[in-house]
Amino acid sequence: MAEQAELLRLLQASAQGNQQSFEKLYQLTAPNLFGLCLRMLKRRDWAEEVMQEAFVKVWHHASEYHQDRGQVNTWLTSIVRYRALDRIRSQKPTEALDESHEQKASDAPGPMDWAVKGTEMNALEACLDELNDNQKEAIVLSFIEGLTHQELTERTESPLGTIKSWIRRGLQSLKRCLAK
Amino acid sequence: MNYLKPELLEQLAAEYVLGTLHGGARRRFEQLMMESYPIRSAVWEWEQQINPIANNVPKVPPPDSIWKGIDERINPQTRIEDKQTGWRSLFLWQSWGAMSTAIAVVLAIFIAYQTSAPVDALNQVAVFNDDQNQPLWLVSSNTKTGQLAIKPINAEALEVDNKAFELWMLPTNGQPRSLGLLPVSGKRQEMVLSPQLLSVLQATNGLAISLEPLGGSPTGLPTGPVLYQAPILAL
Repeated sequence: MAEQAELLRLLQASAQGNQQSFEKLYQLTAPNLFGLCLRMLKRRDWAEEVMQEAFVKVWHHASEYHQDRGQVNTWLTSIVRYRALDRIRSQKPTEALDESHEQKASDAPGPMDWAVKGTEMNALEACLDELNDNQKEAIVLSFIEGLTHQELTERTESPLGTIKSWIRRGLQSLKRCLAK
Repeated sequence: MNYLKPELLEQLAAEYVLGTLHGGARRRFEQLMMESYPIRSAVWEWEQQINPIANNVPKVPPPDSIWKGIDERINPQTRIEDKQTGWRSLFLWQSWGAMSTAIAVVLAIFIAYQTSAPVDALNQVAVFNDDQNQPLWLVSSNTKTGQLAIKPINAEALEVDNKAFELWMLPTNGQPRSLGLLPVSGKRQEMVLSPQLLSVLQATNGLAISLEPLGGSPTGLPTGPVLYQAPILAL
């Protein structure tokens, strides 16, 4: 993600109706967010639609951003992810197959392959590493692939109660660790 | 919502952000968020803690079509103005655009019902347009069976935090009657009106949309501004 100060400046100008700034904000953040959408949605057409819907929302709601929401890219990531999650959940499971992309996705780094990027990632990375592998995998797969508890039971071949407990305890540990 | 214990609040906020809170529980939690600052804060805190996971996903250059689509939706006249030199042709293009939209919409309904349900074809339609004549919602109905279908077309940008859009019948005699809240996005929604509401619809020539508190008008009559009106057209 680009420098936060620059993103904030662009978002503020967008809130005042400056479309050039908004386009620049899009250009700086879209590659990351589009990668995330593809990873979550598995289908290019859906990823493109979600990106459009999310950025139209950003344009119209730019003035509602405030610092309690975190950095600008945190806010943008939330908008895109929630839109993508809504999209995933509103589709029938059988529609979610796109083999060409499935293959591509499997070439990408898996949830356990981490490259450390940036300081915020360092702290999160360190805390994720303190979790056991099951907890870490369940959390990361939920986040970047939008898997439900049920889908996680299939992916990891573990019972539902176990999955729920991995996530619950994993999140609790993560919280404690990040607060240090 | 002070009755949520801190541990439960933490848990729900975390799973909301992660995405593992789904279905009805997710919707209910979203309602709680609207009502409570501490709940929103808990969510924002979790977003800041775990959203950096997204930085780790490989970047993919987005195709130009995405930005083009965004540009068209935030600035619906771009397409038209690009092709124009003078105000006269601009006006012609706009009228033509609005008319062709209406024709396309009507054709789409005919085609949909020709292929899927020829018996209960919808026989009325109302199209809500914005100032630029871009369609926002399409409402179609059958005055015999009471079927009513609502399709948001380009209404998403209108979304206002903590407000809802409510659809009203404006009967020729009597007060407005609510047809419920309008979705701003998603697929076509269908419902069947009660015989009582159907009889009101049969005596109605126009529909209106007002801006209301979440959950709809508390009084049963429009309380917020009436934003859009549309005549009901017979097919």
